[in-house]
Amino acid sequence: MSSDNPMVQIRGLSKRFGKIRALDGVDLDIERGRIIGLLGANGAGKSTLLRHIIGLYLPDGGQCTTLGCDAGQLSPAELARIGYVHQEGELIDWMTAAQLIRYVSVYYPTWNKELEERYVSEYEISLKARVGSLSPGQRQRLAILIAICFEPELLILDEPAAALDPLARAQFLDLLLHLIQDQNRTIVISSHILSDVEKVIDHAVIMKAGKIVADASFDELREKYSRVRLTALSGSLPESLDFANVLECQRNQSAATLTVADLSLDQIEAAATKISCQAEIQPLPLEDIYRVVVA
Amino acid sequence: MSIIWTNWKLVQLWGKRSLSIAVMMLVFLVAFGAGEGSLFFLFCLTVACPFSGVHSYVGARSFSFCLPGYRGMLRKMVLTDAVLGGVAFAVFGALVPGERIWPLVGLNAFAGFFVGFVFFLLIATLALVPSVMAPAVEMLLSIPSSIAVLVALGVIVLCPWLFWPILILMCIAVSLFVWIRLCDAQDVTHAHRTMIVDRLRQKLGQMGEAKVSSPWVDRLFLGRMTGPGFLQAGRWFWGSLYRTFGLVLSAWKGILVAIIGGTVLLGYAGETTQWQALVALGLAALKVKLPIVSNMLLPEGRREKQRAVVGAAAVTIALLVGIASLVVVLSWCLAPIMPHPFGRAYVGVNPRNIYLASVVIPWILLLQPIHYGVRSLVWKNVLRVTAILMVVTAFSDPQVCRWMGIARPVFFGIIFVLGWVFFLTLLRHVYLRGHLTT
Repeated sequence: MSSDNPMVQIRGLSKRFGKIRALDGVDLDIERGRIIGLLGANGAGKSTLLRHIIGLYLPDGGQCTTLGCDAGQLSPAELARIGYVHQEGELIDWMTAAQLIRYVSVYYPTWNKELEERYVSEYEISLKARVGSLSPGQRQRLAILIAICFEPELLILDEPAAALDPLARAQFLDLLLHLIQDQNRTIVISSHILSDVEKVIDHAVIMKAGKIVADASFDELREKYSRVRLTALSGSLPESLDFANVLECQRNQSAATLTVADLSLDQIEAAATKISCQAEIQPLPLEDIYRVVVA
Repeated sequence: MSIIWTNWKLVQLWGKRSLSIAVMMLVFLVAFGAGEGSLFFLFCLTVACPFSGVHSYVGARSFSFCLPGYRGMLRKMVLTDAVLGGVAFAVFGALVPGERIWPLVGLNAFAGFFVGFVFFLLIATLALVPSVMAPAVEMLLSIPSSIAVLVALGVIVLCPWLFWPILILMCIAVSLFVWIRLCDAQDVTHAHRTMIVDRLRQKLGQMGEAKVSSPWVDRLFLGRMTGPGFLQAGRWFWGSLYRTFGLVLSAWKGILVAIIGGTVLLGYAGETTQWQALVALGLAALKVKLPIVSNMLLPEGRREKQRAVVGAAAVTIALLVGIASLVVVLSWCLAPIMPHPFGRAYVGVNPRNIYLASVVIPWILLLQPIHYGVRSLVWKNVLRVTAILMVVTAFSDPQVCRWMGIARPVFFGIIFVLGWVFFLTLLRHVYLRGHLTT
């Protein structure tokens, strides 16, 4: 991804925690208006990267520029344009939900009271309950609410749906789809629930061991990787399936399923015809793309 | 033995900050000759309570019920602590020059663990600490109420005459009672589990919906926050104060009652205890959680956060010195009207001691940025020990001043200034280079 004026620009970002290298020379541009899925296994460096973007962590090497400023020196004016939901759901436990919402709202000139009331009602947030006594799911809903009600330009969601039940997750996805309608908003979402993420993202960044192993639009990834179901027209498949860039192969006597990369439809069909097979081409779901890329 | 060992590890994790301060305080108090009765109760409260607390807490967890020998587990744990603590303090008692006899010190420590066990149950129940309340109430309910009333009355009546022989007799009685009655975990559990679970659930349900702060506190802070323009200094300064002190100030009635009660007792306590109590007021800063780092993103940059935390630290000092002033004024108002029980006169607190709490507060607050700002374990411990030493030294002021040959104002001035220098330097380091997440 490259742009003249990205929301976030990261160059050669490195971070160590003792002996563990959490980030290893990460380069990334996040363009305005994008919905980016940050994917990776536990410990891949996703949360560390997100915390650098908002200046909670300072890098050991490299540079992270957010909204045109060094992320470590973001001023209140820039921070007021960024919303952040973190996986731990840490809030101010002694306040009631109503007090917390009021407290946070006072900081933001752009706080949308209507939006607040709508989400309080939709998310069934108990305003009188003490934050410390809320269940993890309710806390997470509250955290999401206070991160979106000031309508941030850059919304960073670090495992936002981890503590939510299936219904709440569906609601959350609806909310994201609603937020996406604002063309000017940039959202970075890190999640393990890839089936949910793929409904909303238009760009995927996949991390492994502190490095970015894939950084491409979701459409590009779906074009790059395909699943090909081959059925033999003459009874049985040949011993060798003459396909280039095969990443995975499962086969029996008469049929095979291949995962291939960088092959066009014409190339696949030509190769299938050559071995007297019928080819059915399907795009890979994000979960499989992730698995293939990480592998 | 493995469970006992596990619990010892838990004790270390749980109370490493407060416990280390308590132990250092005790060592200094013993070394500089604190009163024997007060030393004993201090020991129970600061050392024995945390140990007993962890044991009864772990003993009441679900996994513990599956362990072999569960019924006698608490006995083994408390006895192990008592023997180890008794021997350690006896050795220490033998090393410290003075009139104190080392077996007496050892016996005191031994019994202290049993008394501390009961203290812990009472404290956990009265303080409504949900995580430890269940086992505490469970065990307390197994004490026949008649015995509990008798013991409480005995302590109150005998308090003015508490001295070693009576104290030791009481300790032996309590130790036997704890051993026979409270440490039989199975007996306690079978009898009271259902009752406790129901009661606790009801209580926690009420707490969940409870009003947690007063409307005037909300109005005060939110009003101040909205005064300055958006993204201006005043907004995050008042915001950080709201976050830090909102809950405490909401409990102002309870605090006021505690101040009045404390002042009533303090008038009879004598000048040295009054002095130590005002220094100890500074320890209340342990309960102040400065918003140094947070995972909740608000529009405050690193510089703004740093200033807000310094502001909260300064307000902590102002509040505690304010409380000390209130105690002094109240004690002088009470002095003419208070009775003289057992021939003991009520003496007003010396106004010149109002500032004492402020001397130790920066050192107490220093413990918080150490956690986030210092990566080296060695430096962490050096700074922690320095902070603890400074607090303990402030407690032992007359002896230290005599030993160093300097005047008290100079001595306290040095501690105060050094505390702030360390605190501000470390805070600056955290905000320049540290991680601002938990």
